[in-house]
Amino acid sequence: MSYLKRVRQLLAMAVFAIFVLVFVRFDSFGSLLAAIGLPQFAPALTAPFMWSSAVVIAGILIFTALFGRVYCSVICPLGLVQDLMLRLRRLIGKTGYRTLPSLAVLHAIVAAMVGGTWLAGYMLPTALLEPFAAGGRIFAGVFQPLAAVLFKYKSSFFGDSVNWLGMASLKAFDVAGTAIVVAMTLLLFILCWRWGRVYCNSLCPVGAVLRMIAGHSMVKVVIDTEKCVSCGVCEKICKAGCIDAATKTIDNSRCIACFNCLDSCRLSGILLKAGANKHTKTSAPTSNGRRAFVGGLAAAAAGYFLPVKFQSAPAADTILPPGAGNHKDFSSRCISCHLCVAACPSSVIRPSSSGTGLRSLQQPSLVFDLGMCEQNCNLCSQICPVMAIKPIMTEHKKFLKIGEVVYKQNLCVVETNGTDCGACAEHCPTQAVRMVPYRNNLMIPQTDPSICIGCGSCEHICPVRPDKAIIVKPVAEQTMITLPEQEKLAPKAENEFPF
Amino acid sequence: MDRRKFIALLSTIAASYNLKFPLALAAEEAAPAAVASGGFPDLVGVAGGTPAAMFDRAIAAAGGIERFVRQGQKVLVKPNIGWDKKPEEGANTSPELVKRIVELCLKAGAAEVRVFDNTCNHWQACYGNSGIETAVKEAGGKMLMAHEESLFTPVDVPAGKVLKKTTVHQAWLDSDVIINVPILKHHGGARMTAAMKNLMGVIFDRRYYHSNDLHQCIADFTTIAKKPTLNVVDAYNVMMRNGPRGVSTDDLVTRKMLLLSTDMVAIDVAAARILEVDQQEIAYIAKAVEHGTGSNALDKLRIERLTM
Repeated sequence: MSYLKRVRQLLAMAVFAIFVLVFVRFDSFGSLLAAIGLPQFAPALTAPFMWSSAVVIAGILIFTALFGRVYCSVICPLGLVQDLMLRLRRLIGKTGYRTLPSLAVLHAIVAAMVGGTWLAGYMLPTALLEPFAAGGRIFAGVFQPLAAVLFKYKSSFFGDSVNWLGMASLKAFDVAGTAIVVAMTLLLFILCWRWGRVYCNSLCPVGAVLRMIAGHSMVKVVIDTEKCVSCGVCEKICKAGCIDAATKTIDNSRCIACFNCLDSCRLSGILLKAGANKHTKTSAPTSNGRRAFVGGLAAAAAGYFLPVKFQSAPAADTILPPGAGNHKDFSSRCISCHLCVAACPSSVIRPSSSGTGLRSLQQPSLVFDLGMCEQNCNLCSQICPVMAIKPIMTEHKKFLKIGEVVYKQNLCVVETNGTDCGACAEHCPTQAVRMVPYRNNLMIPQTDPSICIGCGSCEHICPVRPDKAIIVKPVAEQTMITLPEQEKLAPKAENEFPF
Repeated sequence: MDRRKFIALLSTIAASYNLKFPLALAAEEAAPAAVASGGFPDLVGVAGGTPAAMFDRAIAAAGGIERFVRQGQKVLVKPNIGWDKKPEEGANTSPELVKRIVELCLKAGAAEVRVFDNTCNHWQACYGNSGIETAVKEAGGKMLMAHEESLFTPVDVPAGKVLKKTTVHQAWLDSDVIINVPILKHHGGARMTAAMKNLMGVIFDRRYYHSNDLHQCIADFTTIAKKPTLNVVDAYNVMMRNGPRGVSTDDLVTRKMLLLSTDMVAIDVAAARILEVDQQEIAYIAKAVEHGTGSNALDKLRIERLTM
């Protein structure tokens, strides 16, 4: 049976490698996203009426009904991160797990509460507990900035010609943001350290759905009660803590199909079987199905109705990615997976510590210190797995207003130094900032907010410090601008030299 | 190990240790290739052809590429690749022109032809959408990165009035020949961008220029020891307003012209005429004349005007 574990490990390593590549170098490996992003359960749930999502959800459910929670050991990014943590745990020298209580009622309540708040558009619980989001934040908040530093310092290894290392975009190390992610990662590690993959069977909303099906899966791990001598070897190796050697039972609803136990038994007392036979006992006797159902229902209702105070329109105090619409829509859809943060080539999309408050966790917003929202780029709107950033064509994006210019003449170089500058107007794609004649043959910026798209080009390049003389302020709703018709320039006679 | 072997090893280590140092020193000291002006026009203007064909005519009139590029030399071609725009949008130098220049330099025996710009938009988008990266590769040249401060080297600008020091791309310092290939455009801040303004793309910190008298800094940079060997201004499609980025192709007027000169000031003065801007308006021209960078008196220069 050992080949099953090996296959699981190889698949998991491949998926994990793709996650790392996609999050760390989206520019090169972004196209692999379909392989790992598409089969994610919770993102697919956000658009259940799209045929692709329906196929994904049905596929995951049917596969789980057939073979158990293979999803949790192969596809789920946070599952893979935990398996790495458990490997680290073993390296440090702590081995062995113990049988855990079912926690079915708690799990149902937590998951239902997440579902209720998610339906109500209050995203904090989802952002905290949904595994794709939690996994994404670890990749985007820890792995990627570290890799960016490495790329930056190692690119000179290949000289100054265009090379792959140098093509990595610079990423900001947001201390507060990374601290939050690191804290959550440590928390997860502590859970792993003490109880193995307990998160998957107590807090994970996807796990809660899958465990309902996995308990009755066609193929599952079973104990042959005739051969089993209750030695406890398999129990110690089970990171889900779902084997009870004393009673010779396995709670298959909690089994994450890692297959580590299959080889542990020298008496072949634990095996993978389709269906049960007279020598096997499968599920631990549980009488708490009804309690889980009632508790879940109550939690879902509470989750849906209680946090109404968080659903009032959020303060429109951040600049949202193009396609986000408005703060209410965005904050009620974004699960904070930070895929857009990882993908943004100019690194203007950042986890935001402000703005959302307790409404959600580090939902992204735009900061223009490293670059501008590039006119021809709509990457974030293409990849958002939950359509919090809706798809927008580049032709439209050029005219989509995501912010509005504010010019402070009293800080401007032209005013304070009496010298020409014009960096802002130079970079403005719509000439919402243009240079007009000023005293002493100088030119000074003049703004027309009605044609400003808020791309941040002006703010990015403004040389004034510490406070810039031109900034972009958030807008309440993203709208389309219309550029005025320009008068045609008269054609010039060719072949006539003006000198 | 006997004594002889030990000494041999020691000297090998010493040699490899010093390998980079004397090379870099020599490169930085290399004066711009001295080009004899004997008999050739100071400024060549060509009109009526494609950018590449006009360059062929212009360079022939100026004595051929061999006058500027010799066997085994390292050449730097510096176009304007500042914007994530397509060639027809007239914001970047024509890729066809850049390609032709790279080809001719290699044909003249250049050891290596390198191309870069410190872009305004995201550099990979600029290199790609401008068509210049493809053109350079097709011609056999090499695109360099220029988005990172570590690729730039600090230099003093002893004659600078405001710009006393800056950081210049290493390739600017270690090339034997520099061909400056701007595109002529209106410019909101500097009024016009052509030869002298294009050199803002070889330094790292442009914000310093903008906050410390842009015109003076542009002129000051022309005083550094290493100067362009040759300047070629692409004036095929000229952005007459909303520059240097441009809002739409409505901002362009087709002039089908190309200028070529070793004199950055003279070529900018001629370019200003095409852009229909009085050279007095472009403060850096007068400031560069004051520095002795070149001549703004076109009537005193030998100008060759060619039509195709």
